[in-house]
Amino acid sequence: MFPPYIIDVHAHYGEWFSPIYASKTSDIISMMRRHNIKYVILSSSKAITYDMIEGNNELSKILDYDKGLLGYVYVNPNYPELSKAEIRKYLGNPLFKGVGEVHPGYSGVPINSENLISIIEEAANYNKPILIHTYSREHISQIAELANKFSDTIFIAAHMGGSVRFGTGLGWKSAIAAAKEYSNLYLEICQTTLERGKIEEAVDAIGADKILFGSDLTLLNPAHTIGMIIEADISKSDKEKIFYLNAERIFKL
Amino acid sequence: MSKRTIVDANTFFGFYPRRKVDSSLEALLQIMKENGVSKALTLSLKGVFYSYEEGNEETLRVCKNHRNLMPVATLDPRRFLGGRSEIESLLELGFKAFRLFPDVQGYPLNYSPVIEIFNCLDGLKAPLLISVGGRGDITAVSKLTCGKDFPVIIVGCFYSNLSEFIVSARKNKNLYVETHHLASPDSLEVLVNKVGADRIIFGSGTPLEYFQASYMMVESSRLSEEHKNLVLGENLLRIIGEEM
Repeated sequence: MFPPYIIDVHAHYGEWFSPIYASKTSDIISMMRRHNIKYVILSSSKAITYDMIEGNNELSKILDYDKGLLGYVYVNPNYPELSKAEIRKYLGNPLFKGVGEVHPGYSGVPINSENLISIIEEAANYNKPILIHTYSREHISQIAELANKFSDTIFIAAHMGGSVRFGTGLGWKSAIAAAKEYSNLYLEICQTTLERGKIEEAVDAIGADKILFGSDLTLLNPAHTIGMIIEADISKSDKEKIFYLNAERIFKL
Repeated sequence: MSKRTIVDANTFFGFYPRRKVDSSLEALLQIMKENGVSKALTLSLKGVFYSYEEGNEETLRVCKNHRNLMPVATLDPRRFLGGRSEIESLLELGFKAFRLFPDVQGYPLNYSPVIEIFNCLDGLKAPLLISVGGRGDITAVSKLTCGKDFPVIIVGCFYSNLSEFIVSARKNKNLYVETHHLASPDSLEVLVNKVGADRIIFGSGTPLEYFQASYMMVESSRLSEEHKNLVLGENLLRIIGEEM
């Protein structure tokens, strides 16, 4: 069977605003089995869209290494001191593998804000990756600033900058350029619009070592992103890096 | 390779001006062959980005040489003044469906030339594929086509406007949904439950998007085999009056 298993570095736990009902823990586990996902790293949709503390707390209760359920601590840069307290509360726990999905859209705070920088200073003490939502060239330039400032911390550009469709901001092309410049900037590949050629372009430009499989489960179906990698015209060994080897390395799994 | 009959409602060929990608006819045919796609509705990108008349001529010419390709006529409401007679002529030439691109071509749906096209299509039975973007688009299409006699296939529905499609489709029996962006974990199961499997049409966006990304969502879903067959081809063939 190929791949032997998958590690999903971008997934969520909780409800969304749209009619998605497969969002319970049992649904996540069922989806993992169906798609051969060994580990999934979840952030709380409640923390992202509403209450960081309640969401992180609920997430912490369902994490289970044996079931492959791992977590991110969510931080809200509107509340820097509370966010730092959340980091101190959870990030030493081996079930929490990083910080994320930091979301400039839902928080309304730019990725390069002073508040988020102060939170990352706290998080950097734990030497764990930071997953940040990126869906524009502006987001990519901001995450690149962080990668430059915190050169010992791994940053993951969720959605690798978004779509380039209709020429509205270069999306993933700007993400590839930034990842080429900063060795600690990684690209996570899921999107609703999976433009053919983007994986091949990314591997051509930066190699496969910094490209990570993510699904956006429970918002998106892992089959969507799996299909893209299966079809991509890259080597089998590069697909193995994307599906699980890179994640094993940076998350120490 | 799947033994299913796969018919793709959403394919293109030609030159894509907005990023570098091989969207040639050869690329489309190769992807169809590699993935066992029996037939596809297709159109020339020339009709989307340049001239719909020239694009339609190219689409027809190509489809006459490839029996697995079924021609879709692009209509550009910014230019279209031909009325019902032009649409009837396109059907006589062999086009199986029509398509509008408000997302790419930048016009609203509540736009007199679009409404004129809806009126011209009434009673002709040929399906209209229409790309939607933000919330409210499906509502607008539904209101403007309700009571008319032609199928409307919504292209580009995703988790954000899924409820809008479901509510609209319950009122407007003309509405169908194409699958390539229906990427939430249970969207197909929810659609089957709420509006029925016969309203779902498989499409991929090939060769501009990855075929397997769309196909695996259907194949790995929890739909019954009967429903997968409807979605992957039988529904589309039924509404365009084609047989395998």
